[in-house]
Amino acid sequence: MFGRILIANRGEIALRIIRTCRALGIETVAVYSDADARAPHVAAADQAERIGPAAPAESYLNASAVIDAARRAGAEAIHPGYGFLSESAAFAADCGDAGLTFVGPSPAAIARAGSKIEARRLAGRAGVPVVPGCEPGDQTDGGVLAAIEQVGCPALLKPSAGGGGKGMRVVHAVDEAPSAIAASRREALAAFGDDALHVERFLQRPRHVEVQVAGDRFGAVVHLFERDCSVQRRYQKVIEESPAPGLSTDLRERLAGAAAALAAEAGYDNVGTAEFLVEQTETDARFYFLEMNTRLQVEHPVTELTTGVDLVRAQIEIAAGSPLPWTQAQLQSRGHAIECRVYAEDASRDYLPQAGRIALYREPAGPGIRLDAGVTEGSDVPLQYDPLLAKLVAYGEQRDWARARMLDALRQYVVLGVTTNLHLLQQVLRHPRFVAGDLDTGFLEQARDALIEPCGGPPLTAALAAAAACRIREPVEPVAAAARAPAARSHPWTDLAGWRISSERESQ
Amino acid sequence: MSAASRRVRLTAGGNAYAVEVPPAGPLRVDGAGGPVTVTRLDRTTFEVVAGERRITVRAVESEGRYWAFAEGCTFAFEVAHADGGAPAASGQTGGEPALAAPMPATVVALHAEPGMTVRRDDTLVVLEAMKMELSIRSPRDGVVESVSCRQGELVEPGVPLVALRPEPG
Repeated sequence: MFGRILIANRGEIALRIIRTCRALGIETVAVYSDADARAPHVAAADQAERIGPAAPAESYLNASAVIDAARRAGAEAIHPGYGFLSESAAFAADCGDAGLTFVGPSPAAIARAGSKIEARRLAGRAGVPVVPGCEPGDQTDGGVLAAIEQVGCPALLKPSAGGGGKGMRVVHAVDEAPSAIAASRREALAAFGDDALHVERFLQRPRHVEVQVAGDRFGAVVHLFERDCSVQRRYQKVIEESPAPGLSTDLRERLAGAAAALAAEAGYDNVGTAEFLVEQTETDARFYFLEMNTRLQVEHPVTELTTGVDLVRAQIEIAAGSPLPWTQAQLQSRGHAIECRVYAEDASRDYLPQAGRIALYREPAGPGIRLDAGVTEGSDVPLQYDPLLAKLVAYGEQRDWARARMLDALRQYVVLGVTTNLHLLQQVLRHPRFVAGDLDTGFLEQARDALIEPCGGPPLTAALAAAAACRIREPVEPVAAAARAPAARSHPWTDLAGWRISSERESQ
Repeated sequence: MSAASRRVRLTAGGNAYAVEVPPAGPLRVDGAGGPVTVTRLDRTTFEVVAGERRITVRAVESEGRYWAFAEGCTFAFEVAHADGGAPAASGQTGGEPALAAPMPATVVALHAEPGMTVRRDDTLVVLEAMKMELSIRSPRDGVVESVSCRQGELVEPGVPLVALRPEPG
């Protein structure tokens, strides 16, 4: 096992990985750009190394700066998290050359499963259907245009190197193609350092369902059931859950089997995810393999809650050369988990990312609630990075109970100073289609008007909030504890703070 | 009404709340239906009582706005003090939306140059913020008067990037 691991990431995922390292008794090394010198992940690690200026290309995407930092800090392994360098076969190979273990699949497995071209060949060999499309061998604008004409409109442009929806564009008609190709290339280059594009047919009303898989260096492969990630905006996931609601047992088993077959065919040797699109009609359900994400997913906590495993621990142990910690028969999915991604963004302005400082921050807590946050009070949300602030995850015996716990937690979550999507998330959780599990990847856009109403609450709530706000600037006078009436909407978990012995509030 | 009361106007989500704030004692707010008693429990926690209604509000001031959280809702109030005039101008000139970045962003492409004739909805500037692109489009047919940004430049919100020649007549 490793004595020290460098975490080549930031935000909530860096903190998430640090937690598991601590539990394993592994020392942690954080890396940070100039924008993140005071970020929570830096404070949480045992030591930290600066890797460059704020721009991702000069810091978190700078492979040699990350490897140099690992050498300086005496780390034996690098955990890449998700995004940034996590799916770069070249970076994984560079780590090996530098005598460092990459906590992820081997460079060969990343190359076999991670590239969209290779993944489609892999699917062919594993007998798994794919969405009609092609990766133009001729990557000039003319070559991509020819591919769009061949696949037919509506077509979807995707960066070959990427994930997370960055750089994706729908081309509804051929005359839109030139500007879409240019925009897609620019975003691909900025996010992944590679502007190769893939073209495929754009399916109508598909659901996004993915299967967690894991393999080891001895050829063993298991699946850890599916997640539905259909609630998306701008091709980025907002809410994920497991199990996928409304899928037949037969379809779930076929998806899991296809994912395991793909992983086995690729000789996949760490934790990964096979993504599928599911087209369901009244009489029929088909699925198409989309791509393999050769890394930890953002939404891995829903699988951890329903299966009871620690996927980061599995990643580290497999990378250290241990066999898979579980057999397929030992893995079971129990209950239901839902994850909400809390973003700094303005849903009423086309989900425009928001930057700023978090002036007040209070986390919800309670039975079945897990919060993986990357920020705290006083944190700056820089404009250079993904606007994900935190992931709120709720578990329940059934979907409805997970949903109820999630709604309550969302209503207790205080983030002031930066506009967030916390209200939008509540609206989605209450929407009849979400309640019924009737989801597809267009849901957020179709239900837009019902979801994006401003957070007015009852008009009286806003008026009373305004009244309180008008006292903000006045000096704070201590209030005798005896003079305080109990809060009308008391919440046992947050209100427990009031009972702290010798706290400022109670000792007056 | 006490002569010493301040009058504050808060706006959020298209709604306005006129508040009368005496130095001490209950406040008056449009829509609250009566006096509102605010008790501060700690720096950021307020207990608010109006008639039978009693709620807890968390509130802070940040970047010139009053932020408040109550009953699961977040409000970012713009503040105007009756004696301090209207809130700061919001980047609007001559009734036409300013062609400005809505947030700090990098100029990734510039499609406008002075003297150029543009059509409504033509893309003038492509910005990138947090790895996402957004286009600044022309609000009307017209001619570009001036361009005040360069490709690769980091621009601040509200600062005009492109100006169109005023419409004739």
